[in-house]
Amino acid sequence: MDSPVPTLITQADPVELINATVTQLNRVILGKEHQLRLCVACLLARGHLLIEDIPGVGKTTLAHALAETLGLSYQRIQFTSDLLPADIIGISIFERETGEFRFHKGPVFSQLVLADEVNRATPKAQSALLEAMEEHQVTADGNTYALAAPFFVIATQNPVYQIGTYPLPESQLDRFLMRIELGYPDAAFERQLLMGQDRRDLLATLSATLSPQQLLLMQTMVPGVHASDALLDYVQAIVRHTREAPQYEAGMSPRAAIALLRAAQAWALIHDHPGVLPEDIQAVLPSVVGHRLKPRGDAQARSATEVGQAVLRAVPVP
Amino acid sequence: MSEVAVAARPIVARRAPLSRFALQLTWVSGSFLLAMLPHLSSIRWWVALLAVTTAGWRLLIEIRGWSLPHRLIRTVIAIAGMLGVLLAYRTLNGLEAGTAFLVLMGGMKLLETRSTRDLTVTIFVSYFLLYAGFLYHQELPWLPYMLVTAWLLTATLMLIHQRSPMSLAESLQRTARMLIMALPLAVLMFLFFPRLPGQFWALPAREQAMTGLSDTMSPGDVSELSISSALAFRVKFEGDMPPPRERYWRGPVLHDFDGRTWRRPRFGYVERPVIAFGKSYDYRMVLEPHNREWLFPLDAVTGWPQGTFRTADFQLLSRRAVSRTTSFAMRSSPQYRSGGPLPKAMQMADLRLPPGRNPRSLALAQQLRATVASDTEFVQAVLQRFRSEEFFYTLQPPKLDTDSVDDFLFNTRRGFCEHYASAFTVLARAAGIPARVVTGYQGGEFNPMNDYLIVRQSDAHAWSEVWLGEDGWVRVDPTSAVAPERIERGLADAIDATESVPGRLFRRSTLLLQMRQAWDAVNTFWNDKVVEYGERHQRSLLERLGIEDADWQELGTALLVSLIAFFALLTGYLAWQFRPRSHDPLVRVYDALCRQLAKRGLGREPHEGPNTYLARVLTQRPDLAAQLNEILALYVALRYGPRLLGSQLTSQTSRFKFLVNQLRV
Repeated sequence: MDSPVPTLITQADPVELINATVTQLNRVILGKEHQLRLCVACLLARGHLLIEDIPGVGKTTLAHALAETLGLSYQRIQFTSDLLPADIIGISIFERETGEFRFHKGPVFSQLVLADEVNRATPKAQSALLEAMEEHQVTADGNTYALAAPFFVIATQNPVYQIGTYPLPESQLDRFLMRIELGYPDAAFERQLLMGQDRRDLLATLSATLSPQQLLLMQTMVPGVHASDALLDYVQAIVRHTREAPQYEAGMSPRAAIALLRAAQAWALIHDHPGVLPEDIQAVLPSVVGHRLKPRGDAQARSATEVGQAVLRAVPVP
Repeated sequence: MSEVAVAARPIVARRAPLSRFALQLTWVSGSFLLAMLPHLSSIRWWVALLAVTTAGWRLLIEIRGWSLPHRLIRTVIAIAGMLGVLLAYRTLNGLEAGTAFLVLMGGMKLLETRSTRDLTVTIFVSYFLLYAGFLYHQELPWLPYMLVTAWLLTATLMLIHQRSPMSLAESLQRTARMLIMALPLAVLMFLFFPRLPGQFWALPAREQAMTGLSDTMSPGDVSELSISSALAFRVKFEGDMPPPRERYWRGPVLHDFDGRTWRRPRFGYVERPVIAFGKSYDYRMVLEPHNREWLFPLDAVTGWPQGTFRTADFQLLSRRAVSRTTSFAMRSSPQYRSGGPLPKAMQMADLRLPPGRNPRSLALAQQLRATVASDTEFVQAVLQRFRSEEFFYTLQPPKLDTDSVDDFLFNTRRGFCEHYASAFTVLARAAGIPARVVTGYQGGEFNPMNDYLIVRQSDAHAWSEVWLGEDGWVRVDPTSAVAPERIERGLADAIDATESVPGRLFRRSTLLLQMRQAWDAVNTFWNDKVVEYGERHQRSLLERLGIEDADWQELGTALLVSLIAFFALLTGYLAWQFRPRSHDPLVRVYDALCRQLAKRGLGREPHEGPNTYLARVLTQRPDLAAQLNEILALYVALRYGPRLLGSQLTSQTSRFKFLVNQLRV
């Protein structure tokens, strides 16, 4: 991989590297620093990201900017109702010269895959991608092919109430570490947006601030971020609350609890905390539990942030 | 199917583990028998045997899987037992019959035990039985037994009421904790439960032989008593103690002599005055029960408590036999003279000798009296005779024939104090001097641990008193002529080293002596502070607490108030014990910080993490930025950061504490 940046992480502080990355992303995606940091945290925690929002708020631009900034190979898959699994993972084609089948790798073999409007494809196509995400490998015609490392999927989806969607089932949603919403920009940023350059031109000016090796190294650092007993108490209190409180249809699963901790560890890492703080949990919690926790009854329409805030307010920090 | 069949068939070779109920039954029966043990000395043997048999039978039934005895059989046994008690004790009422009946019924209850409820009833009967044991045994050595058995009973009670099986060890552990928690309550009840004055609580006297002086004295009686080192009484003096040679503790005074045995007459004389001079002593005597009415005041008693009276021969008698350890406050003057002329009747009685007995002694006395000028000189002459001739002081005197005094004076010449006192008194009477034998105790061992003087049965003594006209009754102790060490230093020093004497061992070993004294001090404490605790003590305790002249209503109020206080304290303690708190000192300091800030309206919301919280505080109080930022950094690092090394941890923790303490909001 030809990377202009030094490959040794020790030469630069992860925090500085991340800050530089976020600063550069900020130039493209205006006024969304928190979401950007969540994206990076999700990436560092080896998770996959689901961006749910209405079209036109910059989901694709975000994914593209991330790929450029992180120096990752990038492929975009536009999910449509006629998308086939082979369109995602690749296909074996008979080659006349050699007289045998050769596997042509699909777009999923990139380091960063943008699955655009994932809920417009049929469940069959969806599960092809989601299986690849889970297994980090693809099996075709009896052969197993490893995916790239790092491997990061950003899926976008339109809100479920839009027409022509196949909503992801809960079990599939669980594959995504975080789900974020971009939302409308603030008035001031929107103004800048209107006045400024075309985003696509801006993208071309971006340079990689991180090498894939640095990214991989940082990914290995995430599980090592210290989580104290006090913090684990807090995590368990949160999990217990979601299981015991009557307003949720089902509580957080152990996998969700691990996801929460991993995300918080990544968040602590990029914010230079000595260990995971309750605030780290609080920062990532709405994105981690928003798509996992289903409020009962009428409250369904509430946004992830609201659900997360409700959980956080109910659980005291020990 | 076959499993069940095999288990049901009684196979001797293979011992099946006891069922849960059988185990419970074993413990309950064991506890019952242990509770019965203190009564073994008072109930008839067949009652105890019946109880043991029924317990064993019931266990066998359980182990072997037999069926319980038919209702008819049980009824017959119960009625037979009841009749047996009725015949043996002539009543079903009263202490001994009641206890026997209780033991019997407890055993019978075991025979029909088939449910937890039955077991519980047996346990309660056992509690009752055990505590009835205090009616017989109030001595300290019994206390541990009673306590341990009560503990075991409680543990068994817990055991049989557990749904899930529980080991006895665990149950013992739990009940121990419960009992310890209940201890303050028991102490409160003991101290403040209203007690009635007088003898209302007194136990009925039990017919039981006890060691001690009797109202007769034959040769060998006192020396036999002297073998025992059992406690006779303890004395505590207010102020000085009289010297050993003045420590004559006066017991029964014997006037009637039949040639061999001295007797205390059944009748009394009119009260005689005592002219005391010299020093008088105030003291309190704690008398061990001896089931007789006489006390043993220091000779001669000049002040005595209510319920006792002094006789003409200066005995101090209680109106009731002393059947349990009792304390008496008394005053005595060792230097005294009996006033007034000797009444004719007393003179007659104290000159009387059995006709035709001890002729040689009578002759000797008359002959001796003729050679001296006065009665006083006669006394001196007799004592001189004991001193100069070959008389021996021994605990093992030879047997004497019917004319005991003659035999002693002219043949054996070996005797204990009663021999000398008896011989001297006979000689004096023969010489026409009114004389009598006084029995009691002489000396006593001082216990420096609690300043009590301990008088044992081995200090039993007998001496004479003669009427010397002007001087009145004069004490003459012929033993002191033969063995002056007996009076000055006690029995063990006076007896020849070849003879075994109680207490000699203790004189040789200081350690043993100290152990004995310590044990005695503990016993005294137990007796004075616990067994003897009554209305008077309660009153003085309440006066110390500022409640003067308490009646039972005030006592009840005091009890109630202390009970409420106790439960309030207990509740408080438990609430404190189970309060939501962190054992982490770090968290406590952080909580203190939050509380301090909360006083300024900057309280932490429960869901706020440290960063969020202090950031919010800083928006309100930017002046605290420097301090709070350092506090925050330390707290976050200590609480959520990786574990620090020992020294670093200590220094950072103390820095954190220091900063929080320094912070003035």
